[in-house]
Amino acid sequence: MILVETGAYPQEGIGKPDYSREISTGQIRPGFELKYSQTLLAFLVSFSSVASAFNWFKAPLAAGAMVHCVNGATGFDLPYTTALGYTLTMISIGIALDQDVDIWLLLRVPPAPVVQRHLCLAKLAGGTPFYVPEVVSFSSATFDAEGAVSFDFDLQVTNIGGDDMEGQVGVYMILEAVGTPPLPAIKTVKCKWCEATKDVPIEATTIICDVCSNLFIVYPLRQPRGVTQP
Amino acid sequence: MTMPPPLPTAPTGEITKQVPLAYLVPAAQRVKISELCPLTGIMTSVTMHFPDGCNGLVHVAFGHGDKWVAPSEINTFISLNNATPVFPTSEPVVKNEHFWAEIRNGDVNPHLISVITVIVGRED
Repeated sequence: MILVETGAYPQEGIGKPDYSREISTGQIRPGFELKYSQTLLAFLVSFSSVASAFNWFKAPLAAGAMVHCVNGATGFDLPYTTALGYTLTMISIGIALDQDVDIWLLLRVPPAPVVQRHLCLAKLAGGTPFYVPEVVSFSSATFDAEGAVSFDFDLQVTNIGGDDMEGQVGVYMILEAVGTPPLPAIKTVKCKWCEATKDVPIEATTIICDVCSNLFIVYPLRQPRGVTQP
Repeated sequence: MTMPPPLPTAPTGEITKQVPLAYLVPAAQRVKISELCPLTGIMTSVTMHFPDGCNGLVHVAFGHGDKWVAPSEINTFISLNNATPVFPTSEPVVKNEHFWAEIRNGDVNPHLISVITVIVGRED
């Protein structure tokens, strides 16, 4: 075959990779399927006296203290700032903590200058397991269906018990593009040991820090593979 | 017993050949690719394959020499998604002339496009 000529051609829109309906479907629970324009995000924090390379692990939370959840894909604490052209929807929340706790969802929606309490996700007695696969408890599409607003999303976990708290909070979200170009192929991650930052491919998960040479682990959630069958 | 009539056969020396032109076109790129015609005879069909995902953003045209065959109007293109149409033709062709396919990809994704033409004719 002869290649006669090549050249640039202006972009006219956004399609999908060839046969993407077959190759990028992610079955993460029966009846649930991510579309190509969707990305899974995990905002979580684990409190443990045993150290872990997973980026969302912190020391046990002291009584009365508050922490932000961690973006599992990068290691940075929330708030998470959505880009223009995206909506954010909560799909599940799981809590397993050994102290009384309250967990708030906060938003900063311009022109508000700071985050504001938006939803109380939990006020639980210590030791109460809690898991809810959400239908819609939070979705920015309810107030910004076109992704016209870039807003800050925060999850704050407060130990309202009497002792150091161990356990985990995990919230899964779907970030969906509303007529925008795909997410960048690079993400900035933070080392959980020395807090040095580094740019890596968005699919990266096990990372050696360039500064302290320790291993840390983040989530590669952009295109989850099949987990369960309907 | 009467012998059955002989089966119909093509005129002596005529054969059928397929000429494929396939290319993985990068995002926001256009290409023109070419193959030689293997026979002198008639082009009987042109098949184009648009994978699912093209979404009407990939534009394809096929022809030979200065002639546009599919689509037949000059400077027009076919843009489909998840489709493999077959366009019947009856186009005279000459051995060793150039078949060409022009593909314009207006998507942000690369796409593998195939064009297959069927020729019935003679090799000499």
